[in-house]
Amino acid sequence: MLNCTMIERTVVVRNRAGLHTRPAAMIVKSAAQFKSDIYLESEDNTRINAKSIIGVMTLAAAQGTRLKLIVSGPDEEEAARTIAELFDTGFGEPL
Amino acid sequence: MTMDSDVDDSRGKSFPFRLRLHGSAASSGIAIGRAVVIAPPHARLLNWRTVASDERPREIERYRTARAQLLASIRASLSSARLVEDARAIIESYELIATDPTIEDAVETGILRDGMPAEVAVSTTYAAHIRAIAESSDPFLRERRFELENMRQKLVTILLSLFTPVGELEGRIIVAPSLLASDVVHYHSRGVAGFVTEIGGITSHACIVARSLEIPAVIGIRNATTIIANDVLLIVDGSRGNVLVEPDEQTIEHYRQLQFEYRQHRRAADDTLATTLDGKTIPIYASVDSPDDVPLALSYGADGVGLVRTEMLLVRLQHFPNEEEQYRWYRAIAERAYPKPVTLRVFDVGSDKILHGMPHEANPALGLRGLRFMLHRKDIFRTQLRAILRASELRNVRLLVPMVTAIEELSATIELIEYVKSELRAERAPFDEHLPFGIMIETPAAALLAEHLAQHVNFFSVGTNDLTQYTLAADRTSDLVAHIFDQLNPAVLQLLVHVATVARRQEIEVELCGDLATFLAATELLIGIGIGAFSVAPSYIPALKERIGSIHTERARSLVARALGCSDSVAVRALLRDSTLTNGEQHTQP
Repeated sequence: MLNCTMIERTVVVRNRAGLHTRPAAMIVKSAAQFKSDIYLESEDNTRINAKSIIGVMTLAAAQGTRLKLIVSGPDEEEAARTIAELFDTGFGEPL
Repeated sequence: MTMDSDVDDSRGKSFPFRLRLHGSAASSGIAIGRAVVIAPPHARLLNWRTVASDERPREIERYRTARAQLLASIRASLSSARLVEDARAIIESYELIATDPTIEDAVETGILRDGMPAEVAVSTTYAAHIRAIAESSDPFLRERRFELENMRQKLVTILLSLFTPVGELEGRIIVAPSLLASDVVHYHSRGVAGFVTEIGGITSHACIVARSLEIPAVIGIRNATTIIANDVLLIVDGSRGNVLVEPDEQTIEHYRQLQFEYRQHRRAADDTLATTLDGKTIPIYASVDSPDDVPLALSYGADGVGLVRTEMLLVRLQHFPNEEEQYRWYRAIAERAYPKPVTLRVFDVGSDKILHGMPHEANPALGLRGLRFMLHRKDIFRTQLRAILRASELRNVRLLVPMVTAIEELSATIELIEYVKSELRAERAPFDEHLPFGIMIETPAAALLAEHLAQHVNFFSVGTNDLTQYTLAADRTSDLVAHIFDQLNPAVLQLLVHVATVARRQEIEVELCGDLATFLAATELLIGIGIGAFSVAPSYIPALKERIGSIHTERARSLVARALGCSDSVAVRALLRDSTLTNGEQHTQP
């Protein structure tokens, strides 16, 4: 959309167990609270909807995986910050 | 009866009908009408037809309803169980899968753009994701395909169970793999003329309901839904278990005549009490499911209502009604039958009548059903007892509880009845202080404990369908064990004899309901055993009264001793056949 900015930033899966069920559910539940469109894109250019548990699960991202977080919409800044923070803190799991 | 004459298959050069299928006679009478074929689940997924544009929104609605049901069951498991954190996260992820926007978009596109029925769109969408996950290199992700598969199956199952055919059903014949009692009630309200099913036993609740609603039904015709095409003309002969496909004019005319005679015979019912040759009167009651059935039952000459299956009220409403709703319903039955007696049986839920919100059990026939459920939910029990007691004001109501296995259950029930009575006294609400109280004898435990149970009750009502199921450990709805499920098995007869002996000694009434009561070749044996009254579907009453008029009690007693000497039901049947033959009587097979 023309008059919408878009936030793109890189996030890294830091927790040891990777994006398994619990972290995936945390991302989806968190993303669902925002109006913005939120996507995660892997290095092979697969882009998934971060509000879709099937999508996030399918990334099967292991520890150390780099993903592009793409957020666009009225609350994009807060959304990007919140989701990135989940990755940064390793979803509260051992790093 | 004239019903026994047949159409000659080979008459003339033309075939009177294209095909004759033979199954079990489940509900007597004749229906003539066009088929509405309900394909079995797998066929509905494989051979689907594009949904017309204007019906697609309805499919979206069905999908959303099914998804809401699935979500409700997931959320219920989250709130009910004490879960460890990991288990909670996994179950929460099911909730996220069920509401996943990617899945929702794909399903709705499948329905709106491609015209898929909801179950096909769901199945296809999940299948695509399951395939993708199965190909993943991540072993943990691959494991999750089983969860997706499970959710797919749950949704499809819900969708298929939500299926009811659209369009006009008045005068048509439903051809289905199987039917639930609630389906029968639903189709009856839409004017369906007859039923044909592939599986099911004739004592299943669906058939009992079909009989009481007088809808002819033939069951146990394998592959009926593939053999019979939609819209084809059928004759359902529910008295003999035949289905004629595409009959010719002459055959249709012949069956219209039989249909007419059947209705005439039914009108000839008389109101006098059935009396044996030696002068013993045997009341014949009707088993009914609603106030509307009562005038019909009385027109058949019923001496009262021997069994009101109050759970049918739940099947219709799909919730537990409040006291006033129940009271009005019970009161209407009592008023319509007055001054004849009415036996109200407490909700017999569980087993094959599961309501939304009831606990799921692997083996519901052995689970929390009947009285067990009511004692588990004393709030529901108390409400029902209040309504029944208030309806007893006319002094023609009796109270009956189902599925008793232990004396403690009886003590708890009596305690609750006394409590409710004291409540009503305090409120100055009129009721029958001496409301007769009886129990169903339908488990071997109740039969064997009859001596102790008899001390607390006014009457026994033996339910032979369940007593047979539990004694022989044979599911009465399964056609695979239908050869084992035999109400004339000597093991069942021994229990009957024991119960009747105890009842005679303790001077309480013993009645019998269940399909054994409609098997006229067994009537003499049952009178000999000491059964004092019967409750049957209304249409059986005239023939049963007629049969009792030809029985002598002394001779019947001598039959019991010989029956007890039989080692299997084949021998019992042979004995009954000989007995009826020497009596110069015809008899019908069950």
